[in-house]
Amino acid sequence: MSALSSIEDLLVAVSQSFDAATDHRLLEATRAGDEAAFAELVRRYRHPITNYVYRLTNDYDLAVDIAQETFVRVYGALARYHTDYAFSTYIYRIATNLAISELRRRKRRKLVSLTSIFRSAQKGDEPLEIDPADSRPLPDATLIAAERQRAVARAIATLPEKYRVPLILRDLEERGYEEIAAILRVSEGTVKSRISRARALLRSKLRAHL
Amino acid sequence: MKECRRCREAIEVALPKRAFAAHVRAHLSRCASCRAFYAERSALTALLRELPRVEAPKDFELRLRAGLVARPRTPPPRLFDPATVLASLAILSVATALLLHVRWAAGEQTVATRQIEEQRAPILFEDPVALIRTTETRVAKHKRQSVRAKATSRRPEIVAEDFAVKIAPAVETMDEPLVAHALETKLLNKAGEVQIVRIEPVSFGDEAALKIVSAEPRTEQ
Repeated sequence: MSALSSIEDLLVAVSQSFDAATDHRLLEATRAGDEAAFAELVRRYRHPITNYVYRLTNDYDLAVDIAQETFVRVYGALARYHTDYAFSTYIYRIATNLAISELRRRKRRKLVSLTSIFRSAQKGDEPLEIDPADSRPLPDATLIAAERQRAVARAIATLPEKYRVPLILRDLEERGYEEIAAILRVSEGTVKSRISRARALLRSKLRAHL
Repeated sequence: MKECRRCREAIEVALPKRAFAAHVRAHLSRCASCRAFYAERSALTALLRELPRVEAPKDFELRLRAGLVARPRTPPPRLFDPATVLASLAILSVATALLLHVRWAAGEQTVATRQIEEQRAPILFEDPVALIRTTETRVAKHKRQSVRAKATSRRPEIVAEDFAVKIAPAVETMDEPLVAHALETKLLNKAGEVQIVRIEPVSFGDEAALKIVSAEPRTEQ
């Protein structure tokens, strides 16, 4: 690796290990009954977890609910938490499992629900693949950017779950391969190949925007 | 081609960061195809990074607090908590009672076995399943069911290689493998008489024990 890359990686590693150490201290304090320590953990992770789940589900209200449930689960299982790995790995794993369970539940429901056909792609469970041509007048640059972002979000949401989760963790949350492998409980090699496949699929979906 | 593959793998692994090893940069400088791949992947990751990060709502903590009040944390079990001690004692008592019962049952069977030995009576198992559970009865091994047999759902061929009913000393181990297609198999008792015992396979895996359904033997004519 280049010198720049090495320094950057070193700084990231130092920063992550510092965060992990302080996370563990906060957890210990929470276990000892310090509510303020848990509040600090919530302040650290509420936005990243909400954003992560939002990108997984493409539904803000659901993302907030799942983020809430994630913290409730963390709090409920404080006694069982071990400091073998980073707290961020632990909390992302809980959030991932909850989001996947919810998406699967919705998907099952969708299979028997005819009404889902008429739902908006924005608000529905999983957005429909159909993307009809827009006949509105040419919008300005801001609107173009907003439309592009919606298209990207839709494209991500239509990726198969096994590709979507590692892609979001890597390209949006900027998690390391080792941590993604720990979150998903698969090998690093599997993570790399899934991310590569996810990017190839996404490229084909977003050809018009590239 | 091999170099291109390595270069692309390195690009995929490094992204969304754009710092590459010297050999990757060197390859990129001379390979137009890999440069195009890099440009395409960079554009894709840039597009992903354009997505705005959403934040949790302002009342997130308030709602969370309400949720936690509704479902309070389960405290970690204390080592000498009276409830934990009582529960442990209860489990211990049940385990001891079970152990004593099993030993008593085994003792009863030993007496029965001795009587059989003395009288050289025909084998009579009152409760074959219970005998198996005492682990004193080793009935048979049989080979894995063949794929063909599975496909046709035929009863597997049972090959008893080590046939011994140790609970009943009146029966000796047969030296030769014994093949039985039916649910009955032949045993020799100490008097040299061939006796037939009904058996039933529990599982079709290797080394699976056979369950004796009716171990009441009858002498072959």
